[in-house]
Amino acid sequence: MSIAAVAPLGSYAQQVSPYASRSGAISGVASRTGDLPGLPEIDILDPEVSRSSGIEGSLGFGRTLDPSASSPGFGEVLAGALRETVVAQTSAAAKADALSRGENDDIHGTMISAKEADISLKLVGAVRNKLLDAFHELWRTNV
Amino acid sequence: MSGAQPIAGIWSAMEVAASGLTAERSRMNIIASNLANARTTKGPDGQPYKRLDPVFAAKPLAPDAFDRVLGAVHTVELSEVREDQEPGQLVYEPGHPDANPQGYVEMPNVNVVTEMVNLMTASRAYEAGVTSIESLKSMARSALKIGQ
Amino acid sequence: MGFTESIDHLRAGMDYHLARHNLLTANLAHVDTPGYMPLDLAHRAAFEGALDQAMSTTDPAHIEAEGSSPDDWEVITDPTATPGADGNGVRLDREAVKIAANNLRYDALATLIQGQLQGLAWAANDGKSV
Repeated sequence: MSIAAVAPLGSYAQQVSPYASRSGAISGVASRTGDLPGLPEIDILDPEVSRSSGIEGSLGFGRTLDPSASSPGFGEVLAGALRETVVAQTSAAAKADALSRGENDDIHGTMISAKEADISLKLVGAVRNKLLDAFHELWRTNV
Repeated sequence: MSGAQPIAGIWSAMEVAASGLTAERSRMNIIASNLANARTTKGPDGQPYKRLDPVFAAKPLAPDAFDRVLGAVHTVELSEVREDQEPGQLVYEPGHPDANPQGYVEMPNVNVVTEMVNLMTASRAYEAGVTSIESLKSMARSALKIGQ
Repeated sequence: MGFTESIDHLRAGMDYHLARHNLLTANLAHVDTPGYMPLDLAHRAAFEGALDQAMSTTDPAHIEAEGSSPDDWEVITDPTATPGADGNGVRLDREAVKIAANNLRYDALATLIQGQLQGLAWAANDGKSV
């Protein structure tokens, strides 16, 4: 199913497909060969480039995370989503707690928060799975 | 929607409805007393029975509430049980033990028909209060279903 | 945040109807209180507009509840109520009907929220039903 439906988690939709966006889609990979001295600047994530120039994954794949990457990387995106989910879950748990202790009688608010936190976690899981699938597909393509 | 400030929610609705039911029950008890004493020509104080009338007042549920709606909610309470001092009917019955020198007996100022009408009104108001509580329960159930 | 925004609006609507239930229940309880005039909960902007057009005889809650926050609500005296001999203006039947209608709207919003959440859960579950 289309990743775009995962919109509620914000910017993920743009980050997922490595073919949709150019360099920096999956961080840590030096997608521009200009990072390596002596080579002309090419975008190795561009499928046309890898096909035509024969520059395989040996170029930059497996390099460590580039801390100066301009757009948030895979790890950061997922970490951000998880942080939001944890916040949502904590607040839902706090509301449920208050309800059970009789401090507040807002039933519908508590139920909605609980369900939203639950779904948020599932969404993060689904996004993680899709991102991993995309990464694996990409990995396989270059072998 | 913070848990810190009380709002006009389920608890407050229960309190108000319960106060309404209690008030109507008191009313019915007082009417029952009037009906039972409709012919009591000599009470413990030697006087004929005078009918009782409940007087209700509004009492704020949460006077210092931050929530405006909660601040506007008042429970009802019985502030006074007033004795109706209207003189009762004088009935000519010279043989009656409580007859005055002229042969008249002062009856209690209870009109049975009026009391019955009041009883029916109080009963209807009580039923309506019960319905409002059922409504509240139904809303709580819908809210719980969201979490399923 | 398309999904959660509509859920927030629906939840605000539910808050409104629950608060209104409190006022209507109080009206019922005060059917015999001298000097008590029935209260209701209206949306400030919508209510002001409604009074200008000849809508003053309709139920203030006919104006849609979605998207309002507690700041938009206003506790008003029911414009259609007239005081009786003892100053009380509560009509039992009218309040009972308002309570029933209010209840229905609350339940409707709850059902709508359930639908939205089920849609999200479907999306989270990779397109299979939960």
